[in-house]
Amino acid sequence: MQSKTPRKNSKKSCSLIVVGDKEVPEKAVLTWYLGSDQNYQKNIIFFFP
Amino acid sequence: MWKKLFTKEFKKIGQSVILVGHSLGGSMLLKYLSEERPNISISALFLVSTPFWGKDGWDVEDFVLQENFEATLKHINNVYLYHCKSDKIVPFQHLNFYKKAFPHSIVRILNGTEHAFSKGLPELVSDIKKL
Repeated sequence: MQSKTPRKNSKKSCSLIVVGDKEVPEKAVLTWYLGSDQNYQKNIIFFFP
Repeated sequence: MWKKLFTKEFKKIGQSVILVGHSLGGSMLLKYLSEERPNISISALFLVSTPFWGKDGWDVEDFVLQENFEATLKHINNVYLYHCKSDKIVPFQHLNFYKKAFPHSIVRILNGTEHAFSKGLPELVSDIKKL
């Protein structure tokens, strides 16, 4: 018999740090995709040394 | 100055972290991780179009990594490399250095000339989501 209990999200809580190149605009690098993922959105730290 | 910035940001991390370095950002990240050795848990390191600095690459001393730098990064189990075959900024050959330094890395060789990935890099996103 199948359980009707929804599976818990097994994804670990994890921060994401992106170190970009200051010559490249932030949104042009990776944010278009990663920025739409709620799992990571609030943890993304961008900095461009 | 950028080392201080890295230290400040890394101190905020209270859990494992995924690190993505793009181009010069990747170079700085490698230099910082190998020389400063921050006490953080790194679940994966993604290097995108990262230039190699040295005699066989771009010869700028400030960014040259120490000899055997990779030995200080052995604790990072998941390393991913991305580079376009016809990257207009960082020659594709630069990838070879990192492939050698990280023999267990997953290497994504991409078609095209992109360096900035102005339309995104779905391969990277897919790899992150699989972790």
